[in-house]
Amino acid sequence: MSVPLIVWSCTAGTLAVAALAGVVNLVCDCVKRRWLQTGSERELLFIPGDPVRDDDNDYDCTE
Amino acid sequence: MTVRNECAIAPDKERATGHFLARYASWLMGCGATCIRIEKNVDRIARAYGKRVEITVMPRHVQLSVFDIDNEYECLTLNTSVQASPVDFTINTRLSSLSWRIADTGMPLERAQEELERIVGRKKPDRRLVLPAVALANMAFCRLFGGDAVAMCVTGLATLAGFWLKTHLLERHVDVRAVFFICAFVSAVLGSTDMLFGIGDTPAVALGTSVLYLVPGIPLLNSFSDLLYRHYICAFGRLADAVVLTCCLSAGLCLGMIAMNAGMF
Repeated sequence: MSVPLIVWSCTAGTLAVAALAGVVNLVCDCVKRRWLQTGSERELLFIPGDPVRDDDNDYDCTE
Repeated sequence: MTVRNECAIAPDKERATGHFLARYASWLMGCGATCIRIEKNVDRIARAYGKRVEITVMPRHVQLSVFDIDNEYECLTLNTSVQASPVDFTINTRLSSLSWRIADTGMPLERAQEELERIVGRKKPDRRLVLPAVALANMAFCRLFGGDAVAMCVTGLATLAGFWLKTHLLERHVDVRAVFFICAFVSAVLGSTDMLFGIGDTPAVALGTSVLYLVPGIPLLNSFSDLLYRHYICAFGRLADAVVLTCCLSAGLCLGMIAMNAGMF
């Protein structure tokens, strides 16, 4: 198998899995249960009492 | 955040006008307006309320000094951070329209404040509509550059995947430069599908147009406009932003082309 084909397969496969997970999450949202999700490190390591930070410092000056 | 420096004790009404102008300028700059538009709009509103305003526009801050037309010796100076917001020409247009309505109808300040909050608090466009629209636009570019039907489909799919990834990564606060690099790589890899499988007659066009949605067109145009009106600091600030993003785009595209043996190197 050539390198371009491997790269293409990995990229397309990863995106397909991500899209599938998105669809599954969408369906699971309807029954109020998330099957798979990504979260920030802060969400994973959050300890009750930690200050809640609203980080709105992103920007998108692209289009 | 807004910092104020009052040369004299400003009455509440003047303070309210100053804060309104600062918030207005901050939003206008944040949603992608040029410096000349900010100057003209803010000046138009200030005159409608019997004030004169001097504005300093910086890439991330706006400073306003609000004077009474009758009294040049007392002023209210405000420094405000530019609102962190994606480029949004709907807000831009509605804020400009608001400035004209204030000037033409003498809208009271309280009503103008309500209008401003209503405009900036509007619901964002549905991503499910934006995504196919961007893909269609890129497909049209592919056709314009001489791509065939297969190339257009490949470009559409590559754009769909890349733009979807871009919105998701930006939502998760991933650095915008990394997002551009990753999305350009993904779109380049998917854009070379017809080259890889030998389908279609214009694979190079598909590859080239699959990353066009990432080109930072508005910062480039705005920087040129600022340059024309001698707002050099803002112009170079915006140009630097655009150049950095274009470099990330190019790096992702080149890496994708190397990985796919696309023949550039």
